This record gives sequence, C-alpha cells and structure tokens, in this order.
Amino acid sequence: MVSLISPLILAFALFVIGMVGVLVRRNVLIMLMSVELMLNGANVALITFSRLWGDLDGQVFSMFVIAVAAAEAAVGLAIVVSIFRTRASADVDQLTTLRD
Amino acid sequence: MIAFGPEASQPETLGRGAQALADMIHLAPMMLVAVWSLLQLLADAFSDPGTRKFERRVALTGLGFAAVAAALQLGDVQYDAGVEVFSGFLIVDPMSILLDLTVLAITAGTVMFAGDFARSHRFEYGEQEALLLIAAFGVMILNHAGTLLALFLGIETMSIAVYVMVGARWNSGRSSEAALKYFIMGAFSSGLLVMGIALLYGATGTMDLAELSQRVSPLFSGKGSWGAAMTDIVSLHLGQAAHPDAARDRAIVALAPVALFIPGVLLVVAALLFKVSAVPFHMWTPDAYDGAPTPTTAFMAAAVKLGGFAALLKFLVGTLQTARLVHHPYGWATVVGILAIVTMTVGNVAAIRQKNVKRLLAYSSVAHVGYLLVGIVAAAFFYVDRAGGQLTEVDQVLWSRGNGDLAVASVLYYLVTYGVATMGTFACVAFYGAHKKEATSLHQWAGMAQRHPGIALSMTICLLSLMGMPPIAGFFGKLGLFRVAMTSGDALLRWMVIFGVLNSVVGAAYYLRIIVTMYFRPPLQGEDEVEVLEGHGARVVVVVAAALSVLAGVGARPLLDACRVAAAGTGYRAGSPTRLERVTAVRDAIAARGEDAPEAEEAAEAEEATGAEPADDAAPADVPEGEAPEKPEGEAPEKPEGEAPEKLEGEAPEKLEGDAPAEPAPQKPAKPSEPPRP
Repeated sequence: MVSLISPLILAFALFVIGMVGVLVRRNVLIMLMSVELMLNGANVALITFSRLWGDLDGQVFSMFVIAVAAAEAAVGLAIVVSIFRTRASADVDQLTTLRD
Repeated sequence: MIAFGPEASQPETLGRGAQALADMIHLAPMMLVAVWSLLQLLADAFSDPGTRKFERRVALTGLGFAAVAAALQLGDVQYDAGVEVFSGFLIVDPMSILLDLTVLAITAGTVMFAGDFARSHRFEYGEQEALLLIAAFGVMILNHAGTLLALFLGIETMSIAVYVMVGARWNSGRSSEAALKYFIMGAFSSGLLVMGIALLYGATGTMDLAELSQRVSPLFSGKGSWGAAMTDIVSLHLGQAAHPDAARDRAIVALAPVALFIPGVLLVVAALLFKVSAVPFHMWTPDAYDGAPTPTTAFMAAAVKLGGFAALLKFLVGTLQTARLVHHPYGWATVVGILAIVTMTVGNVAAIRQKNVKRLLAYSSVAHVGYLLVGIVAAAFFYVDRAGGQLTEVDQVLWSRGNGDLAVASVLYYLVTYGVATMGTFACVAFYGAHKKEATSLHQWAGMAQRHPGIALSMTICLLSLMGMPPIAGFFGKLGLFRVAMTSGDALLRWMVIFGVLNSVVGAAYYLRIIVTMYFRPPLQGEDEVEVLEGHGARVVVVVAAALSVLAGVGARPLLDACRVAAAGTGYRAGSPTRLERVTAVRDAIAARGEDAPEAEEAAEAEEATGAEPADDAAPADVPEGEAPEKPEGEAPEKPEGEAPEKLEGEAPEKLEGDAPAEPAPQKPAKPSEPPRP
C-alpha cells in the first residue's frame, strides 16, 4: 500500500504553488492557471482523505470541484477576453479605472 | 413505533423514487426558481429582442410562485424541527424558509429595475433575468445547506452567475474591470474554501455538517482525544511515561485530526469572509460594487451577503460548538471579533471620504458586515457555553441557550431589514441617471428633493434605516444585536458593542451628508441636469423598500417573532426532539402573548429585557391551563404566528408586481391585531 503521506505532500505543494502564483504573478492568465492549481491541489487532498477514511464523499466532492472549476474557467476566460478588447493587455496592475 | 396519520408513516413506506419526489416538494421554492431560470432562458430564446417587459413578467411570475410556495411553508409546523432532504444534503427549517422569502423578495426587487436599467444604458441582454434566478438559486442552496458540499455548490452557483452579471455591461470598460477584480478574488477564495473543506474532511471523515459537529466535539474536549493526548504529553515531559514511544505515538494520532482541523476552519472562514467582504478580504468590494451595473450591485449587497451570512451561521454557529474551537487560543471567535471591529471602522472611515454615492454605499455595506459579525460571535459564545459544559446549573444552561437563539434571531432580523433598505438605496442610485450617464457623483444629487420629492423621501427613509434611526427597522436590528452581545458579559463582546455604537455615530455622518445634499442644495441646471430612468420599476422598489423599512420598524413584532421562531434551536441536529422543543416553546410563547393582551406583552418584554429565556419557557406552561379546553392543540400556536410573517415578507415579491401606493394598504390590518410597541 502506498503511504498516504506522499499524495498529501503533493496536494499541499500544488496548493501552495497556486496560492503564491495568484498573489505574486500579475498576468491574468497565469493567475487563472494558479487558481486551477489550487483547486487541483485540494482535489488531490480530497481523494487522499477519501482513501484514508474509506469513504466516497471526498471523491464525489472532487468531481463537483472539477465541474465547477470548468464553469469558473469558462466565465473567467470570457471576462479576460472582454478586458482584452478594450485594453490589449492582461496585466492586473494596469486595471486602474476603478479606484478611490 | 405507532404511526398516526400519513405523515408519520411516510418515511418508512416510501420507495426511493417517491422519497425523492417528496424531497422535491419540500424544496418547492428552490426547485421552482431553478426550473424557472431554465424556462426563462428558453423564453428568451423564442422572444423578440428588446422585449424586456415580457422577460420581467416571466421572471416575476416564477418568483411569485416560489414565494407562495415558501410562504405556505412558513407557518407549517412540519418544518419546525427541520426536515432533512436528499439524505441530509439540504435542510428545510424555519430559518431557511425565512431567508428564502427574503432572497425571493430581493431578487424580485432587482428584476423590477434591472431590465429598465440595461435598456437605458444600452446594454440589454436577454440572460439577465435567468442569471438573477440562478444566483438566487445559489443563495437558496446556502440557506438550506446541510453538508459542506452544499455549502460549496451554493457559493459557486451564486458567485459564477454574479461574475457574469458584474461584467455584463459590455459598453463600459469599468464593468469588465470590476468583473475581473471580483472574479480573481472570488476564484482565489473558492480555492481556499475547497482546501479548507478537504482538511475538515480529512480530520473528521464526513461532509455532513451535523455529523461533523458531533465528531469534532470529542476531538477537542478534555474527555476526548484532546485530553488523552495532553495526558500523554504531560507524562512524556515529566518522564513518567511507562512506554515513551507508545505515548508519543498515541499523542500524535490523537492530535493529528486537530492539526488538520484548525487550518481547515481558518481557510473556510477566510473564504466565507471573502464572500461577505469583511475587512482584510474587502479590497474587491468598492471596485466591484462601483463598476457593476447598479441592479447587480443591489443584488450583491443584499442577496449575496445574505447567502454568505447564512453560510457563516450554519458553519460557525451551527457546527463549531466546541469551546476550544471558539475561545482563545485555538478558536476563531477572537479573530473574527477583532476583524468585526476593524471591519466596521474601516468601512465607515472609508465611506466618509467618498464623493461617489455607489462607492460610499459599498463601504457602508462593509461596515454593516462588521455589525452583523457581532451577532455571529455573540451567538457562538452563548452556544458554546451550552455545549462546553462550563455551565452546570440548569437555568444557566437555559439562559445561555435562549440568548444564543436571540443572537441568531437578531442576526436574521438585521439581515432582512438591511437587505430591504439596501435594495431601496441602490434602486435609487439606479433611478438617478439615464442614457449611458450614471449620476453616482454626490454633487449630482443636489436638490433631488425638489425634482423628485417622493423618491428623495423614500431614499431618506432607507438611509435612516441603514443609519439606525429609532422608529425605522435598522434601529431595532442594531438594538437587538448590541443588546444580546452586552448580555454575555464577555470583554471581547463588550468592546465589539462599544465600537459598534461609536461606528454607528460615525456612519450617521455620511448618511446625513447624502440626505443634506438631496434636500438643502440647489438642483443642477441646464446641461448638468440629471435625467432619470424611464419605467416605474426603480421607483416602485425605492418606495416599497421605504414602506417596508418603516413597517418593519413600527410593527417590528411579527418580523421579530418570525426571526425568533427561525432562530430557535439553531445548532441542534435537524429533526432532533430538542430542536422541536425549542421551536415549539418559542411558538407557544408568541401565541400566548398574542392571545392575552398587554399584560402578557409587558411580561414578555421584561423577560426579553433581562434575557431570561427560561421564564419564556415557563410562560406557556401556565397559560394553557386556561386556554387548552377552548383551543385545539395543533392550531393555536400555528395560526397567529404563520399569518404575521407572511404579511411582512411574503407580500413583498407579489406586491412588487402591483402599484407602489397600494402596497402599504393591505398590510394595515396586520398592525392593530398586534399589541402596540412601547
């Protein structure tokens, strides 16, 4: 039996890479990809715990997460496209129309 | 087991399909909204472009059906203890029904002027109403959530629809910028949420909130694995352990779930605070609220926040009832309490500097999140005292329990009244300005009272309600929250209340500034004169919101009673006898008060003032001796209760379809029947 520690380390590594990516990178597309990494890290964790408990809820949850992530990506990319039409740039630091 | 009547025997005799059907009927309001959103899309596909009135009528019809279904459930004792549907995935209880009605009213209000607004600012799109219904459906999932999965799906259903609505105004770069900012923050927070849920699941092995609550207690209690681990650790430190390795292993095994659970709680709480825009996570709020089309802003400020707080109530108050998880040093209450103080302060201070009405209201909504969090922390403190076993006397336990219910009731009352007033203010913002020119700058509001006296007056009432002016609903919301928080006697809650009151004063400054600008500045002339939205939708919403705010303030009783019934027994498992007992006690107390007039009213007031719920429980015990022979058991507690809230809440969505002036009239009869407010 494979130890459950290794998939958990993978899961947390993916999650942290994703989190740092969202916080540090300024390109919208890379930020979107980082969010996907976070979600997939969480998915791996869910499946690992599902195995740990011998319970299927975690796997079902990860299925839902995949579906939701797809919906989110669709909406997110649509928003990026609409931004691109007016600005031709994907840098969040240049989005400064709305501010105090 | 003896089964009387069809209801009692149903769960055993029904097959799986029939059970699913029965569950669908329990969820009728939600299912109607979900199905109707699809019908709406279909209707849009087959209708001519630009038929926004038709779209609006279709959407309002669907919301009306759902509101009727929810109103029918409201007084139904069947749901008192909470009914688990789809194997506990969702729960139908008085709280969820009350919140459903509020969400339906808010959605109906938004639908009323969303089409007009889009038309006037030249970005009409047919999916608008369907998206609103989908977002409302998401909020309703949150209201009913019984598992972490439902929590996640509710938040995502709501958010994804709202992302689209925020960015829907394609002819304005501000709208898509707002959508992007909101989307990035929202997606990030949903990543945190999923990871948090994964950790909670890893620690306990269950997604079910009620089950989670039960499995967590032993993990953190002195008698459970926490205590055992501590014993092992102490013996290791003293070098007294007979088998050091075994003791170390035992301690690690016992504490491993705790080590997963606490970060899990932090992540989930952070994600939920993102959604309600509490302070360190509020950065997106002013931008998203400012850039979004105003009807969407109204929906976000009212309904999305309501959904977020429903989730917070379910998760923090309803599930995490272990003292160690709430109190210092491992608990969330200190963190959330301090965040609440910072939230109201930051929101108010930032609002004062604003010259843009929309941003001002966005910051004011951040401040209101701070006030609401006071109620959440207070409720958690009271419930924990019950579950933590720190209180030994029976009457102390009852007192704590009753106050916990009261705190939740205050949060609900605040949510409802805040939602109504917020709808009114944003409808007014939408009303002012037309033809691709929004009038969100404060100086443009000068002299509005001269040009549109009715709207200005209604807007003033809504603002006063948000401010917390005595006869209007918002005041009683704040009063309830702060009073119950003071009852606790905890230092943190005291500070929260002190800051809350100070902040209410600060808040008055900017609300009054809007009012003064509307009334005492000369209107803009010539070129600068502001045009207003064509169509009646926005006007009707502003006027109705103002009327409801006054009504919920002057006649606060029925709504407050509905909130108390909805809040009773929060934190007990759905369908448990204790919960039923709590709800029945509250219903009986209310019914008893309704029947015998002022003395009982005075007594109930006194009880409430002292926060002595046990006396409240005792009240019905002596009343029925005189009452029981004449009144049939089943009907007496249900009738007067069920009627009143319907008047207040259920009316809103249906009445919105009609005329504004006709609105308050049918509600008048409700008032004399209830005792006068002191």
